[in-house]
Amino acid sequence: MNSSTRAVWLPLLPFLIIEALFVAIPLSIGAYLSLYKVDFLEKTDFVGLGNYWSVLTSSAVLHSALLTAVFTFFALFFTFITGFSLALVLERDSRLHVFGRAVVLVPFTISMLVGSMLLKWIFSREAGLMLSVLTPLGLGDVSILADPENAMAALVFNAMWRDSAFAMILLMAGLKSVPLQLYDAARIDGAGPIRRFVKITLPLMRLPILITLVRLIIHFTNILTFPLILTGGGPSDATNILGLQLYRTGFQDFRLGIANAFALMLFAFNIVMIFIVIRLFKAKEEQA
Amino acid sequence: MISKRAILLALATAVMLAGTSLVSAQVVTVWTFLDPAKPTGRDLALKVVIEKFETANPGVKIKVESQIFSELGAKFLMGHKTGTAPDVIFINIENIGSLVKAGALADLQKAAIEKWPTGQDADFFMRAGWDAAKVGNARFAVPLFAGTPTIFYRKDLFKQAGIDPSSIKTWDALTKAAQKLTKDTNGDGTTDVWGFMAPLSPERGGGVTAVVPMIQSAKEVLWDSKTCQPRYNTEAGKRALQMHADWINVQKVMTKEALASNSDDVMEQFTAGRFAMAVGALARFENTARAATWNGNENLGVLPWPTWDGATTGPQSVTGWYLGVWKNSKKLDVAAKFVDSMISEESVRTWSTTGGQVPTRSSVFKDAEFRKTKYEYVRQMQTAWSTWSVIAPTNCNMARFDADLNSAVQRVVLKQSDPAKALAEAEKKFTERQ
Repeated sequence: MNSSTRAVWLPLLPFLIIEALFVAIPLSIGAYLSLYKVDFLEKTDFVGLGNYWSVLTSSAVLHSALLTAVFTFFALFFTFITGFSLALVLERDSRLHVFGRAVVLVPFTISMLVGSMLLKWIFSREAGLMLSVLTPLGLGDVSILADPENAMAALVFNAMWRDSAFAMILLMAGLKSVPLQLYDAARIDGAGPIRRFVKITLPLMRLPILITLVRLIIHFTNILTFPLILTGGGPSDATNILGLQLYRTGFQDFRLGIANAFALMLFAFNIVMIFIVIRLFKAKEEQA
Repeated sequence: MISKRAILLALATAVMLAGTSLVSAQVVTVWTFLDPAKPTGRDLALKVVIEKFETANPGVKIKVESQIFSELGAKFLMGHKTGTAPDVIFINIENIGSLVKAGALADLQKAAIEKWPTGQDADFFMRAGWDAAKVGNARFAVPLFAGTPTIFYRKDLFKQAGIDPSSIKTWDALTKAAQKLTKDTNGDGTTDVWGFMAPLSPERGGGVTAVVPMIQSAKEVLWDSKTCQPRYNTEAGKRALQMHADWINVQKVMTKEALASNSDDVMEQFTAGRFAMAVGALARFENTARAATWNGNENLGVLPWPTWDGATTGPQSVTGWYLGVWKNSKKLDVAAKFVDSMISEESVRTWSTTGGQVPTRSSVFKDAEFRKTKYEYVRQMQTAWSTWSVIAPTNCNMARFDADLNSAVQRVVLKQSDPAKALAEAEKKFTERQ
């Protein structure tokens, strides 16, 4: 190995080792185990692609995939819109705006588990604050977590409540990089706030928006804590999304062969989804 | 002045002595969810039991490594595979089957029980529990803590409503009592105290479900222990699901919020005074009595499960924690001796008085201590267990069976399915895991 090659590879070596230890090797072990029947950590029969077929043909997994699509769509929509709105409103660096940012960041700084437990307590009809809010409105009988549609809405709210601040940070970083002179010039030319947003902000925010969307899609598609703590996947499996279904297959049913196949398929699905989003953005860019 | 040589000699002697004591002391590692450094209940009892054992066996040191209780089984299996398992393990009853199947546990019958005087094992009065880990002539685990799901009730509310708890012998009688106990206390049109409550969330709830005793009380076998096939879809099963749905939708004695409540939620609300009766694990008795806002020490009681015909008390399942020894332990004999001491009459007394556990030995019940009023619930449960005790098969994958049944109840409550279809789905889920 010559000195220039060494100069390239040597700084990369620690990261390659970490990547191999914590990503490549576990992934390979997972792929290997996905070809076997593994129950209670006992590897028994070679089943080939049987585990993959079991996942693909499982009605429970298909139901979970559908629920995940619904959850991801709505959670992404509301989180992104809220995060972007907050970024636009709190972009300036006055004391009031900095204070506003700090307040918005509170749900993001507390742990996901604690946040979801807090919301569970708020939404609980028997103990929560919602009863005091809903009863005067004549909605005393409405149950949030025990109703399938309302439980999904609560799950989406949990995602929006916690992750809007994350979207805000990413998008605000993008907003800060937009040159102010462009806005000044547009203002002189008579452009209003909406026109400035559409013609300057949005085109220059293409990359931060793409990064935010990709991060949120990955996060929401694989999320476990929200349904595990807030709804437990119920009622009647109405919020049993893929992350929870995978967790239960692996760590409660101890069917690790199937769980590994399931996890690898979810991983591949993530890659495909990200690829599609990036392609869509590139196509738009080429059109522009 | 002490010479350098004397100091060096003293140091060498000290090092040798320390080395000798390290070499000679046999360290037995124990994995448990308890922590003997804590000053309460079972943690303190464990400390006492260990101290007594170490005093009686000067060459042995017990090293406790506390673990998260839900991870104990899986971690032990992993340790067995990698050769790093502890000598002694606390086992949740639902993990016994998988550990036996994996060949991770030593035969305690050979290592300890055979040395007991003849007939002493009969002292363990919950026979189903004593034999839970028995395969042929081998016994792979012994019971430490006995638990069971049961019905907690408030004596004060029963008295106010004029209900005699002993009159609740059938499920219909329970429904009628719940109707009497359901109240809107402040007249705002919403129920403030619900007559009955059960955790119906599809989370893993540790078998705390009323559906199981309902099906079993029709003298039906829920799981075939040989084939691990479930038998939920029976007349009693359908009746059980419909009764749960009616409690919520028709009689309105149970809040619909039950569908989103796990056993923690239910017991929390019970202590806050929202329910007159609630299904929970017996192990929670002391904590519930202490935490209740309605003088729990005076007013908390337990009811044995009712049956459909009221001829006897219902089937009282045996759950709880067991002790096992790792098959590949290099200190198998001394580890088995420690397990033996953990379930001795003296230790069971400590677990019960200091640790607040239901005694697993009938001889301990004869103590004057257990004739006190505060142990009325323990005596009741002993009677219920002695009348009819059942145990889930330990050779099947029992994970989430309660969640399956709760999902079935949910479908019927939400009118998404009829009971037969919902139970068939629960059976399918259970079978897929075997």
